[in-house]
Amino acid sequence: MPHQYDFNRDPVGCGLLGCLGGLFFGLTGGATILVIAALLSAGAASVPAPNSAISSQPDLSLTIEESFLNRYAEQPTAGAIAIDVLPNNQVQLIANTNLQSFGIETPVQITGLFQIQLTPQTLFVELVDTRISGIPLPPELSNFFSQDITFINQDLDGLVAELSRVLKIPIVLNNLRTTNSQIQVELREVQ
Amino acid sequence: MKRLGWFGFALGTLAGLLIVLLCAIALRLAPAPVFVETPTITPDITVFISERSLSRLASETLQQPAFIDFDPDGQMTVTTRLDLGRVQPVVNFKLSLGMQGSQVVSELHRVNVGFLSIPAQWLPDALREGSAMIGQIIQSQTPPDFVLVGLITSPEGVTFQLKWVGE
Repeated sequence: MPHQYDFNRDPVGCGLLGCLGGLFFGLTGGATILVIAALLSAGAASVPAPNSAISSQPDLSLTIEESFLNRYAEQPTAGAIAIDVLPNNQVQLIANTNLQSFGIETPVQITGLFQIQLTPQTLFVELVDTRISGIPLPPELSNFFSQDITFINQDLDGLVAELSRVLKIPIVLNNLRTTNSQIQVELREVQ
Repeated sequence: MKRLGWFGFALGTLAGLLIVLLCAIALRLAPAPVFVETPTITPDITVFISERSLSRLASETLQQPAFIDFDPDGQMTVTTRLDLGRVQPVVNFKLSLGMQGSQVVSELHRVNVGFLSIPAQWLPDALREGSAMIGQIIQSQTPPDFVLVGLITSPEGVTFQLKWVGE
């Protein structure tokens, strides 16, 4: 005849056994309920949509330091060129070179003032003023920087195209700001 | 006494449920690793990309809706729907993103399924390795002639600081 445990003879052991069973049941049951409830709540949730209501915030912004432009433009063989970023979307290019007149080489400083223009598609620079050692040149003679302008505008076109390629969407330029040391461009995706 | 046994069982069940609940809360409170490095090199170019643009890129890559949310100190959450057969729960992947030297590192530290937070070490290796790829992808997108010197996250998006090393 199999031995039967007499619960009445050991009430503490019976309580402990019940407690252990309850603990196991509570742990496994609780964990199961928690996982199912979490999965159900996560299943009912939705992926939040990116907030497109913040219209003032750009999708992309690019800040270029003046010191970088100076290092980038540095061309030792062509003489020293200094780039000075100015407020109101202007940039000044200062080139130190020698002019030969009547067989005499005279050191001169050529200064070009450029306005950076913004269109939705690209950025470009326009020559506003050229001076040789402080003397303003008439517009028909101020073609000293024409080659530089072409290169700069090509670089700016390439930059916008590269950003569009990385983001895999057409972008428009929507803001341009300059300070004494930075150029900041803000772009938005074309929705 | 059977009554004492049932009482013990009820007490044990309550204790078990309480332990499970406390464990679930403790898992949510576990601190996230932070890779904060103050940039020591002045950047030449600073590029900011908004959460909106990155969420759109992530949705296109995953071919399903995805949302990327940035917080300060390199904290990043990727929210997307996982296909687990009968259920498709919305899952939050909590990652830390930052710079270690000149390398971009990303580390998954937890996955939130509803209110349940699962630590990364309990998850398959493939998922953690996949998360580490994010840092490598960012690194590979750095334009030639530039090195990444800083990475800052903010609630609006992520800012990359680049230094020109070209000739």
